[in-house]
Amino acid sequence: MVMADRKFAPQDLDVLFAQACSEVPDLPPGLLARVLADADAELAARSRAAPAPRPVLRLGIMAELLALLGGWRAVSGLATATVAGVWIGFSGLSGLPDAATALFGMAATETLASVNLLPGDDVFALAMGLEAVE
Amino acid sequence: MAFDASSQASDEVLLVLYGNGDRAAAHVLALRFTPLALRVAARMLGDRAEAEDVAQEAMLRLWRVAPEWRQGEARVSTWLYRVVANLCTDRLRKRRGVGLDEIAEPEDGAPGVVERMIETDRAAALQSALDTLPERQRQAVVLRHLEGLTNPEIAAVMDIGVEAVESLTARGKRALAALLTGRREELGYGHG
Repeated sequence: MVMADRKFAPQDLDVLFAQACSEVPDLPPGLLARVLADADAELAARSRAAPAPRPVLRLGIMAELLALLGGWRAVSGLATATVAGVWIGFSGLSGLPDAATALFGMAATETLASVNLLPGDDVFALAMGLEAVE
Repeated sequence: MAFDASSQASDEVLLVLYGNGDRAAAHVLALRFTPLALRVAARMLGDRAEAEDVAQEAMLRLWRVAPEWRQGEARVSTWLYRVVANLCTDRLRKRRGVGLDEIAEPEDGAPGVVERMIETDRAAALQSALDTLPERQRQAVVLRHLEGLTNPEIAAVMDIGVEAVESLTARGKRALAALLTGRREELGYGHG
């Protein structure tokens, strides 16, 4: 009976908690000043640690242009084509038939205009021959 | 942008602004969160000077995390509660708790003085009883009953499940009641 009366009940604890919650400790001015000084020091340290402005803008544009054109391989292809175009422009078309002969085995008398791009009789005959075999 | 202490800007917005170099945002954050850090540290450690050191250290960590703060991942208050709790745990592991026997006995005096002393003594008794709880129980009880956090919030701070929080707070309250039993009359609760 006596022990039961003296036992600390949950409601007694709640009273203690409520009282403790109502006691809001003052914020010591010295602590606030130290906290704010830390905040300022961090900002200053960050600005010191920040890298100096680098001349990355030009490189960045070049890199973007390179990527836009498809990378180094595509750009070197483009450069080759440009040089070839300039060369053809200066030297004229007189050299082309020879180049075509070398590459495709065309006769020197054939020109690009005389090349037959449509299937010829030989192809047609070959197709007919295949049908006959079937 | 200028802020005053009653700024309506959210904690996260202020932290991001500070991360971008805004000193005024730091001022509002310091006013909002230093008391919280100090309060919890004082409850956890039972030592005002040490609590101030912990509060300053916790706020310093807040300043350092500001530039990398990822919005939407955690509340600033939850993050700070966790940092304070961890700092306190580190310090508690380096020292032993204070026993109830070390609580100062109330002195005789006029009724008004006695009441004030009872109040002071209640606070001291609660703090001393808290000091003897295991760290995790103490943390859960402080966050639940003195900071008013919900169980899910405490679970986030302590990185445990809600059921574990409930268990810790229940065991903590039972232990506190047991520690304070016998001091009921002394603390002014009478026979009621």
